[in-house]
Amino acid sequence: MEPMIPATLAELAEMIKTAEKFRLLAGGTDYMVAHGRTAPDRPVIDLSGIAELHGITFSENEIVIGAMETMSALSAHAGLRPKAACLCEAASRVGSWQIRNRATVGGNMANASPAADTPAALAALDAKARLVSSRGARMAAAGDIPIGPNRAAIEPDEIIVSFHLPIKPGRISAFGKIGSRTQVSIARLNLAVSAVLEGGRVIEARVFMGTLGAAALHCPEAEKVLVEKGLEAEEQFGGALAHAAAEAIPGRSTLAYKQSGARALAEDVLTGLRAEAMKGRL
Amino acid sequence: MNDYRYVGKNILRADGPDKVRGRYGYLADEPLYGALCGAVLFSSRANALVKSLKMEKALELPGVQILTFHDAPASRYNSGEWFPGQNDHPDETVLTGHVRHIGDRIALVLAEDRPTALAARALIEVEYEDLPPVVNIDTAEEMAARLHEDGHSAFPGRLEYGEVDAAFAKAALIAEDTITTPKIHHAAMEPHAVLAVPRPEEVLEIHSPCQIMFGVQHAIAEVLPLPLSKIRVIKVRMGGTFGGKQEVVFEPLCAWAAWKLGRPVSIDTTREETMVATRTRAATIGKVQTALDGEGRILARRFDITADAGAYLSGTKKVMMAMGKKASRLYRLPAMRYEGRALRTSTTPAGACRGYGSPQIHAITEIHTDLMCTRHNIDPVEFRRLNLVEPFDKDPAGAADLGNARVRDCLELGLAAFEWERRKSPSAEGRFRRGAGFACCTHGNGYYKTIYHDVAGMSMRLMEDGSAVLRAGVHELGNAAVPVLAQIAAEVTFIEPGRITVMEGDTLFNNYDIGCQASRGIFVMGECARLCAEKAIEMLLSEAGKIWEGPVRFINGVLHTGSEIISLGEAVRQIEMKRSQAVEVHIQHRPEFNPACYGVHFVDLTVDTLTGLVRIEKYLAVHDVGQAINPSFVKGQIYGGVQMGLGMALTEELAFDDSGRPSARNFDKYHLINAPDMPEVDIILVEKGEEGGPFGAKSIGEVATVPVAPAVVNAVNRALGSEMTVLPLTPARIVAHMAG
Repeated sequence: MEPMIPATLAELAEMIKTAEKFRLLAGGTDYMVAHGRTAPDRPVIDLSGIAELHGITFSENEIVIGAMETMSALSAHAGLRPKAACLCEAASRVGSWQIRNRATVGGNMANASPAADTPAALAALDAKARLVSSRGARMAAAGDIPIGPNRAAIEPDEIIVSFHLPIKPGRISAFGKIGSRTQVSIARLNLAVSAVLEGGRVIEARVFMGTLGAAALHCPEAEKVLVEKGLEAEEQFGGALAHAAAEAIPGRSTLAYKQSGARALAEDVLTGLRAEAMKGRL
Repeated sequence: MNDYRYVGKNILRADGPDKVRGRYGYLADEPLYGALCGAVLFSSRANALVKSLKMEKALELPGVQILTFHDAPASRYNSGEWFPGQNDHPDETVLTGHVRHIGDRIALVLAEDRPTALAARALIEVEYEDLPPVVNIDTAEEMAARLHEDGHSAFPGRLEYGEVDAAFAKAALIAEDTITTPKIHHAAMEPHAVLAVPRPEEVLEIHSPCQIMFGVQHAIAEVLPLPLSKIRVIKVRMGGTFGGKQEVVFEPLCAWAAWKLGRPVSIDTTREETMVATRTRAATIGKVQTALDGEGRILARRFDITADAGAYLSGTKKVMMAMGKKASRLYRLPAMRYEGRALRTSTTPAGACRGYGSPQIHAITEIHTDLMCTRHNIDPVEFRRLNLVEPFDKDPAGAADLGNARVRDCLELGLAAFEWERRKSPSAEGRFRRGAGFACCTHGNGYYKTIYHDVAGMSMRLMEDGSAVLRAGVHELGNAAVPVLAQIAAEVTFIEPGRITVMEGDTLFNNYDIGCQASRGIFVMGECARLCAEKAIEMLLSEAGKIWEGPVRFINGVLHTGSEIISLGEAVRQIEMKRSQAVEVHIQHRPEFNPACYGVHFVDLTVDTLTGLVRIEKYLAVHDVGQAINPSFVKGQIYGGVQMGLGMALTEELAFDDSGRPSARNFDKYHLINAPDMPEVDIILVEKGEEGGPFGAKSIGEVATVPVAPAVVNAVNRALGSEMTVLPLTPARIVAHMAG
């Protein structure tokens, strides 16, 4: 069975309408592991030919990232890093060079592995996903899409077209990850944080932690610490993250480790944020 | 240092270019036309009786045949027995209706192509009657009857010499520790595969990437009514083994299926299948007690060792005994008692794995030694200076003399190069803690003066163009076993290594050899190659003396007669024409030495106390190798040995839950140290020669991985002021320790 390769979103919509069951192939780095050894059990629709899913563009108010942009493209994008450091860092920490050359930011979100690295970063940057189906288009907050282990709030006939990141003056961000190794490693815990600084003070913070049952767990208590205590409050920030972990996975055998890891990431990410603040002199 | 032409030189290996270009085909890359593809139906239960197999749907697929445990021979064998009469307890069958671990073999599904075989396998429904899994080593003995019906609850072994109890009674100090080492996956790049081909005249041909071809032959003869002479085992190109392919796993099954069906049969496996269904490094729990006199000299040691054999005894009792035999060859132990046992559990079977018990026993003793020193304020360096063996010591346990044992040179050179004095004090504050550690170790060089025989046979023919063929029963494991024999033969014959073809194992055409095991490759087979090449040159000169007048001398690769200089090829041609005599010799080499080789490794590392991750900052490996035949090969073995040892120390562990389910079945959850995390490894080689080895060489491949884990654990314990003794020191274990 040859894969179908639509060239436009319109063609894709037609294929989705006619195929009863199908699988969407983005970068294939999850698909091939799960299904690569056997003949496809369902028609495969390869998204690589659709131009509308590619591109990283900047306007005055937002950055638009096509869902088929690869981790490598995000990592290496010079224009993206100053405005979305945590996303570039998350993308650069995914898998190996070979994986990053194939894996896409849309696929990472849609696959919704709890250990995915970019969903937390997108959520921290307050990104919205643009989802399209034959019923039309809608926008959804990135943080609302991963709802459980490999469960995403995406309809079967919907696809992610792009992510829209609002540009906010004074926003800095950082990402941290603990794996079993420094590279080529699945996250045991990851953390993405953005903060809007004004006159050296944090006026707004967004904090999302991954691997705790879903890919991007919102941590409002930790956000509050940053707004109230600033970027130096590693101890309290780490405490709030550890508390969030305990609420997310109570009684799990891995909890103690994840709580310690949360304190480590609290230090690492706040160190990263302070460095970002210095760079931008905010 | 020496005036060798080839020995000690970094000559490139002939298989290198093909391997790095992906053109070195392995068994599964080059399927035999017409062979049936076999997919093994593996158990999904840890301990259960197979009540029924529903195979109707599977058999509807085109060309599918299924052989089940009902069809299979009842003969039991032991996968670690490599010679008739070794009396390793046989408790394994080619297929079984009582599955004893997840990954045990129930049936073999055969089809004309692999996708069909896999599809058919997926359609088989297995009904199990579950029995209690045996996953806790502490209760394995009392539960033994639930797993095996043979009445054996344990396989004990014991070694003792000297006045042990008297020594403990008069000791100034007694220290004791219990250390746990993990079950480990070999992680060879090539998963297990085998091909069996029935040939005319009842010859059954087995193509296997194996380590002991005559051992494979023996194992197959245990299950098939064929004489050894009709079982031809061909060692095929191998993508790594590390002991994982030393024991038979799928060979008897594949051979039986091909013999029964009269068709070639291949069995190929995935990583997951190789991980759960083949062999592992045996996990051990080792209690060690040391009695010291008032000056810190060892008076005696007592050991109590439990080795987890997994579901079948396999070679685990041999491994457990090998551990004991290594214990008296590193430090001078006036008295020793070693009590051990191999126990069976419903987990993946253990067996040979690089070092064959040495990594386990030296992890146990070297971690214990450091903890004892710290606890009692003994300088760990001075302790070694006081107690390490000296060159030419005897083994008080009665095994072969230690030979030119240069462990003290390794220690002193290493201490200086590593700047131990500067690094030894840990920085014990804050989140990141730095510490240094080291460990010493020893390993062997063959089987001389053990309960096993050791013999290598080779033949060599000098060719008419001055090239040569060396027929050696060698198994290239990836460790350069083949090119190094060519290099040795080249040194003797002056024929360039590239013009010497070394033939690998084939039981039909090779001389008897006991296989590539026990670190005997260089010391025994290398010496055999040297002797064989010498004999070929002797024959050449003797025959030449019958053609040409006057004394014929061999100088720089050519023959000097009284009046002329004759090339080697010309001499071979003349001898063949005029004397009807090929220049072809055969030799059997029986070693009369089995010296010890040594290594001391040093490591400086940083522990992140919050994440539990350990970063290696500096690594130094010092090895007593006698003489490096090819230094780049030696270093390659050490780099790889360090990589494996770091895994044993920090990340690698096959764990099983209460129902006998493996926590890791692939590399997503089983973490090897990868290239980005590999430290630079500095290497110092001590080359002071070893009697009985070719040009003074002795082994490196196994010993290189032995001291790594204890050196790392000692460094972590020093960094944290901890006494962690359960390996590997995973991030979770380190974090749990920090939490108290």
